[in-house]
Amino acid sequence: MNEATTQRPQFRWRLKLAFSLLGGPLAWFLHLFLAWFLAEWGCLRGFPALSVFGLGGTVVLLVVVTIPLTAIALAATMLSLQMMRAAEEPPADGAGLGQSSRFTARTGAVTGGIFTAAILFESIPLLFYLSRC
Amino acid sequence: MAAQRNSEEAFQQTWESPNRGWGVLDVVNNQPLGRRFVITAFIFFLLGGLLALLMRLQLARPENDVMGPEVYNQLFTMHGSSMMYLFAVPFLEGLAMFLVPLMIGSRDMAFPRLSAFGYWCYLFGGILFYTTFVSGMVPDMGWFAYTPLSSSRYADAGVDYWLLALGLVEIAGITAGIEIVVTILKLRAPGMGLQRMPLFVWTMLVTGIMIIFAFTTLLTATFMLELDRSLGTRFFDPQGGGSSLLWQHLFWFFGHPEVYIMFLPATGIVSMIVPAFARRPLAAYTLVVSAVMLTGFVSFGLWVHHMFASGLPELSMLFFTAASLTIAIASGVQVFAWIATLWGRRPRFDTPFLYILGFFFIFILGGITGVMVAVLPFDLQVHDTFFVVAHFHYVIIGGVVFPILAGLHFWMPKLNGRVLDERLGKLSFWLTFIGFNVTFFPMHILGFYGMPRRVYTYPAGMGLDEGNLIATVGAYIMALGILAFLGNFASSFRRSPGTDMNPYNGNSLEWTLPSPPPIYAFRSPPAVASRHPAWNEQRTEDDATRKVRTAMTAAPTHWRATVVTDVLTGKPQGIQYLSGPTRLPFMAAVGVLIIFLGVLAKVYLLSVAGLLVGGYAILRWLWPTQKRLERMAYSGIEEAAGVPVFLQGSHAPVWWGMVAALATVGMVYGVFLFSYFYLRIHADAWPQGGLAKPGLLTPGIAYLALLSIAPLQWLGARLFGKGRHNTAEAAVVGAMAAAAAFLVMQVFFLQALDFGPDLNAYASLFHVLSGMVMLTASVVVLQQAILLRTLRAKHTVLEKQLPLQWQLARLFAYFTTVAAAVVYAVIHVSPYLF
Repeated sequence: MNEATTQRPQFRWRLKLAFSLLGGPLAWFLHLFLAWFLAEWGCLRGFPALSVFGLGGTVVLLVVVTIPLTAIALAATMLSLQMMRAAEEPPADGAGLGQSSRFTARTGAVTGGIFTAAILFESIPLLFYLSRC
Repeated sequence: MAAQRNSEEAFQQTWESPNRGWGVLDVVNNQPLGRRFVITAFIFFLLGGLLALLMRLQLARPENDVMGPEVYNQLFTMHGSSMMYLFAVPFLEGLAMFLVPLMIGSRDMAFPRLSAFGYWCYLFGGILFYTTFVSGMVPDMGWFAYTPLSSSRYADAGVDYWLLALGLVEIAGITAGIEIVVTILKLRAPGMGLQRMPLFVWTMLVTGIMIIFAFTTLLTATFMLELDRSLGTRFFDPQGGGSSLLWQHLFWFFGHPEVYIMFLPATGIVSMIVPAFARRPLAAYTLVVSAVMLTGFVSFGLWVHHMFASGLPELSMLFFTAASLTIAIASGVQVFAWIATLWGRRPRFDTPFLYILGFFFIFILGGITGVMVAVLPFDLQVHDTFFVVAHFHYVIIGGVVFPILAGLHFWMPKLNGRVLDERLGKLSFWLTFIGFNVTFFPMHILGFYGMPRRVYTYPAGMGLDEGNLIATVGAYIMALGILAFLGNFASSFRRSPGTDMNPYNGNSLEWTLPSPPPIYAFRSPPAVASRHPAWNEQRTEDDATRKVRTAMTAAPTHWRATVVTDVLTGKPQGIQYLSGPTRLPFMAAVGVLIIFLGVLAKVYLLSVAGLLVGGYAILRWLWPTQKRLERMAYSGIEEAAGVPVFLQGSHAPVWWGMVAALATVGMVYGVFLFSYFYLRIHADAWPQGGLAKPGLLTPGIAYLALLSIAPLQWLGARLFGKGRHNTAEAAVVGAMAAAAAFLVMQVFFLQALDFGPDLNAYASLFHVLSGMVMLTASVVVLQQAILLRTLRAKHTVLEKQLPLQWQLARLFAYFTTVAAAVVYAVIHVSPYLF
C-alpha cells in the first residue's frame, strides 16, 4: 500500500477524532461567549425588530444561538460514541491507532456529553427572562 | 573498543552543560533551566510571604500603626503580584520543564533556546518588579491593576514598572507554554500514545494551551494600558470613550484561567503521588483526563463571576453562575478518583503523602466556599470582604502550595539527587498545616462580620480583634513551617547524592533513571507499553521502534538529538535536532529588557537599541546554518533509524511551534477585536466623537494586495512541488512585493487620517488594529525574504529544509490573509452596517 492511499483515510480519521474530542467544549465556549455578548448588547439597546410572540428580541437571538451550538456539541458526543466502536478497526498502517483512538473517543464522549448538558443548563436562565433583561 | 569509548566521550561532551563563569549564560538544557525556574520562583515565594507577614503584623491589632495606608497598599500589591505572577506559574512551569522530558522519555524540551530565553525574561521581569522598592516607585493599585486606579491620572511610574515587569514575565510564560505543548505532543517516547501519558503530563498539556490563550490576553491588555499611560490612547478612559470595565473583562479573562493554570498542574502532582503511595494505578484515568480537559475549557467561561458586583445585566450574570457551578463537576471527579485509588489501601504516611492529605482537607473546604461565592446573591453579600480572602487562600495555598510542597519532597531525589529528611519534613508539614488553618479559617468569620479586604486597619470593638490576632499568630506559625522545609532542603546537601533511586515507588519513566538523572536523561530512548513503565518493565516494541531505539543509542554523538513521535499514537516519525549551549537567548532577553527600560524611562532611542540587540540575536538564532544542516544530513542516522531528520508538515515539532505561535498572535487580534465590539455596543455613536466613517476604497486596495499573498504562496508551493523552481521564486517575490506594497499604502493612508490614536477609544482601536496588520505584514516580508534566500542558494543541504520552510511560510501567509480580511471587515466595513 503506498503512502498516499494510507494517509488520506488516516487524515479523515484523525479529523473526526479531533472533532469528537473538541467539538463539545468549543461549542460550549462559543455559546457562553455569544450568550454573554448578546445579553450585554440586548439588555443595553434591545433588538426590538426580532421580537416574536411576545418574546424579547434578545431571548429570540439567544435561542437561535443555543439550538445549533447544542446540536454541534451533541453531534460531537454521538461521533465519539461511533468512533469508540470504529476504533476496533482503525485505518491501515495505524500502529497503535486503535487503542489511542478508543481512548480519545471515550474522553470525547465524556466531555461532549458534559458540555452538551452544560449548554442546556446555562440556557435555563432564558426561561426566566422571556421578555426583559 | 576504543572507537566505542571515543563515541561515548563525544556523546557526553556534546551533551555537557556549561556551569561555570560566563558559561552559565549559555545553558539551554531543560534540567538546569528547570531547577533555575524552581529556585528563582521559590525565592519570590519567600519574598511575597515576607510581605504577607508584615501585613499581618499591621492587622494584628485594631488601629495599629506599624505602617500607613500607602505602605499597606504597596505591600498587598507586591504580595499578590509576587505570588500570582512570580511564584506559582513560573514554579510549575519550571517543574514541568524539569520533569516532563523525563516523564515522556525525551532528552530535552522541543526548543531548548526558547527555554533559556523564557528563563532570562522571567528573571529580568522579577528583578524589575522588586527594583521598585529601591527606586521608591512601589505600585499600590493591587495585583489586578484596575483602571482608573492604574491610569496615569491616579498612579505614578510604579504602574509602568509593574506593567513592563509583568510584560517580561508574561513573555516567559507564553514561551514556556508553547514549549511545553509542543514537547508533550511531539517528543514522547515511542509507544507513549495519548492513553499512556502520565497525569502530570496531561495536566501540563492542558495548562500549556491555557497559558497560550490566557497570558496572551493579559500581555495584550497590559500593552493597551501602557499605551494609555505613555502614548495617551484612550482604551480604558471613560472620558475618551473607553471603559474601565473593559480592563476588568480582559484582566479576568486571564485572571480566572490563571487560577486553574496554577491548580491543574498541582492536581497532576497529586495524581502522580497518590498512586505511588496507594501502590496501585489511579482509578478512572479516562474520567480524570476528561475532568482535566473540562477544567481547562470551563475556566475560560468564568471570568464574569469576578465582576458580579460591577453592574452587569442580570441575565448575563446568570450564564456565568451556571458555568461556575459546572467546574465543581470536574474537581469532584478528580477528588473521587483520588479517594477511590486510596480506598482500602494502607499508605505509608511519609511527608509527600501528608502534604497530599493536607491538600484534600484544605482544598475541599476552599472548593465548597467557591461554590458558595459562585451563587450571585451570596457573592453580593461577601464581595470584597475577608471571606473572599479566606476562600482564595484556601484554594491557592491548599490547592497549589500544598501539592507543590508534596511534589518537592516527592521529586527531590530527581531534582538534587537526595531524599529529604522525614522528621524535619513532618515537622514542616504540621507547622504549615496548622499555621495555615489558624491564619485563614478565622478570615471566613471576619468576612461575615463585614471586615473589608485591602483596608490597612479596622476600629476596635467590632468583633474583629480576636480573629485578626489569631490569624496573625497563624501566619507566623506557617512561616516557621516553610523555614523548617528550607532547613530540611539545606541539610540534605550534607548527604551524598544518588543513594535511593525510587524511594516512594513512583510509577512513571523518570523513576527508571538514576537520581539525579544524567543531563540527556535517556541515552537509549525508552519504549513505553503501559501507563506505569517504572512498575511494568515489559517491552513490546515493533521493528520500527526497535530500529529507532538501536540507532539512537549508538548515534548521533556529535549533535544533540531526540526522537519525534506521532501526536496520537507515539509512533516514531523522525529525529529532532536540539540546539547546544549558546548565548543568543540571553542576548535576546537583554534586548527585550532594554526595549522595556527605554519605554519606562521614556528614552525611546534606548528601545531602538534594544530592538537592534534583540533582533540581531533572534535573527542569528533562526538562521539555518549550513554547518548544522550538513552535520544532520551526513550523520547516517537517517539510514540507521529508518526515519527522517528533516521532518515536514505536522511531523515536525517546529510546525506545531508555528501553530502555537499563530494561536498566540490570533489571540492578540482577538483581544483587540473584542475590545472594539465591547466599546462599540456601549457607545452612543460609532465612530465616536463625530468622526466620519472610515474610507473603503483606498484601504481596500491596500488590503487586497495583502490578501493576494495566500494564493501566491499556494501557487508557489505547487510550482515548487512540480520542480518549476524559477516560477516558484517569482511567486515568492510576488508575495513579498504584495506585503511591502500594503505596508507603503497603509503608511500613506494612516498619515492622511485627520485623527490620531489619542483622540478617543475608537481612534485608538482603529490605529492599533491597523498597526497590528502592518506588523504581521512585516513578518511576511521577512519570512519570504528568508525563503527566497534559501531558494536561491541552490545548495543540496539547504534544500532539504525547503519543504518545511514553504509549509511554515504558507501557514503564516494564510493566517495573515484571514487576519487582514477580518480586520478590514471590522474597522472599515462594520461601521456602515451597525
